[in-house]
Amino acid sequence: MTFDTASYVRDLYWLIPELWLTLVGFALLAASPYIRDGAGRRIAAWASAAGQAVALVLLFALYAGVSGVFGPATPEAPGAIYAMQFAHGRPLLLIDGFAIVLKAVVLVAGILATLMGIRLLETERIGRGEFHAVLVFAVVGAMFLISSTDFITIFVGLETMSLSVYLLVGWAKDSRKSNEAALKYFLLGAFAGGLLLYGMSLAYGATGTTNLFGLQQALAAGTPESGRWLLTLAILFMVVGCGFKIAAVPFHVWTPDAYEGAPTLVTSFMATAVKTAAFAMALRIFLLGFDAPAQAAQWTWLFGILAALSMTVGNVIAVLQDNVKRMLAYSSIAHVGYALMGLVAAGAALAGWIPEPQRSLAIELGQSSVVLYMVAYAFTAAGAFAVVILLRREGIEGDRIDDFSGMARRAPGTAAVMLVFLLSLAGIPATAGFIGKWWLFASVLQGGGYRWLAVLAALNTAVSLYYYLRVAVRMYMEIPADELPYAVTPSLTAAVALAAIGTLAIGLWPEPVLRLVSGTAQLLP
Amino acid sequence: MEQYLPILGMVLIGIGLPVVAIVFARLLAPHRPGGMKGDPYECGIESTTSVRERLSVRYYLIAVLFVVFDVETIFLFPWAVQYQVLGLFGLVEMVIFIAILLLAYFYVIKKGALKWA
Repeated sequence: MTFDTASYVRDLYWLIPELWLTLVGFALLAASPYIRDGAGRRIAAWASAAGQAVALVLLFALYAGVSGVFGPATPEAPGAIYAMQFAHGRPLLLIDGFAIVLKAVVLVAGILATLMGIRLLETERIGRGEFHAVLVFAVVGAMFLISSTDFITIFVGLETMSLSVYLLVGWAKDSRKSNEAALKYFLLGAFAGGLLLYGMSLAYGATGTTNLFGLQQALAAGTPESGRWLLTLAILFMVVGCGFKIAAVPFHVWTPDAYEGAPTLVTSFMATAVKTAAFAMALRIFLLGFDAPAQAAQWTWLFGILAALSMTVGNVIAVLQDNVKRMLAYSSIAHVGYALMGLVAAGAALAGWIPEPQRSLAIELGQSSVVLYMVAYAFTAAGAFAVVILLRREGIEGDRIDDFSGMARRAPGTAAVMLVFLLSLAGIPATAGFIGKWWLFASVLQGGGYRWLAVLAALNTAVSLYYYLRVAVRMYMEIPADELPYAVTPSLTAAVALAAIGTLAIGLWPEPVLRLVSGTAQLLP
Repeated sequence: MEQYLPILGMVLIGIGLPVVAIVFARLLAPHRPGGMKGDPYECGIESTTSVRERLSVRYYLIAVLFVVFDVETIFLFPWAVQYQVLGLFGLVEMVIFIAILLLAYFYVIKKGALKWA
């Protein structure tokens, strides 16, 4: 076999954003032993944010260079901009609209987390230079995972991301909470990775391929009786593995502790970037690999149950929380439940439970609504966490709901922006959260026996209003809890402003985002 | 499914053997516990200190460093075998790989992880 160097290098060309970010990460790592004072650390943080911004520009430059060229890259991956095969025969990484939009979400989440945390890292005395290198590596892993269409590349991307995030969660070495969070997250994350791998090995055993396109072809050709049980088990293991990674009930138990114990900027990164990448993985595996009707029928109802449980349990327990980070953790579990509705709608259509003409619409809407929700949720959640960071001052943890008391009097602008984030999380019109929910509801309402999920989601939204508005009541109707000035810095203000602009822009003028997102559906074969 | 039957047999034997061994040992052996018998030991030698000793973190560092540079050689071997096929491209890739490891090495030195005193 001859080695085709030219095609290999051509494939690498499409990884330029990731390669650039890797360079940034190594540069930050190499510089970190020489950084000893606060000024140096601030420069490292800004350099990291700038590096990620350049990667975002590179990503869109790459995309703009081929926009409109949604031609068939390979017979196996129609609609993709480019399919990287690395002399492998089948696409290992896919550059499509889906990948580009979600990678942009991850990069934005990374930039926001970096900016919002500069002062926090100093207050917590955990600002060692390596922090930003590890964060950049987590972003690289997430981007790699989003493009992956092979079990091998999926696992490499997932582990690159997860290992980095385990480190980040436990970054506050002297804090018991942070240690506990890191250990719980690491143990359950490793366990979930193991389950996922086990499912992959069973799927490989049944079909003889690790590639999602290969899996798709093998399942379309029909499986022998003996392989059917293996596939059912594989689907079960992978649903559980993905359930852990996206934090769906009943696989959510690590989430509140990990979110509360991690430094808040890491919590923000986990709730936005890591969740987005995990959803991308789930969508690729199930909508691409297991899209045959017989298999879709199996995983659709599993995800239907996960969706119903996640939104209900998440919302009900969130009501009882007095800690904002825990409340937002349970709220993020609830949002996973909402987002899963899109996957369930697409699955019901793939399983053949929705007749044409709604069928293709449901598949398309299901996929794109999850993407849209990830975009909307990333801005909103990052904004909410950034405001929580504002309350962390020397001597005050600032993560109780009581700490929000009287914010409207002390900082009316910030309180107004926080109100926008809260309303967006609840899904009130004119915010990003509403647009996202609207599409998700529309997708399950196409039929297929999952309309009850929309009803349940609507009921849950009513429950969620209570605990989101509880924070608003504290901000607007109570006297200030303390006199210590808020931890305002230019970078944190920039992060909050960016998140607020994103949340409001998607809510008030959704057309560009909707067009971008609806372009992603047809690209996910 | 028939081809999996031997595996099932192996699983059954695997579970059965220890169960049989433990049950028979319980039934047949005389049970007379005593002070000395409960002591931890290694190769019949009496223990002199507590087993719960603290290990230097350096052992962990050495282990990690060993793994890093050991894995490097694992990647070097297949590259050496396929050198003719991969040509210049393979050489460049390998140089990048080694450069990354070298960077890690200098990082480790700079961090003082190799200072033993």
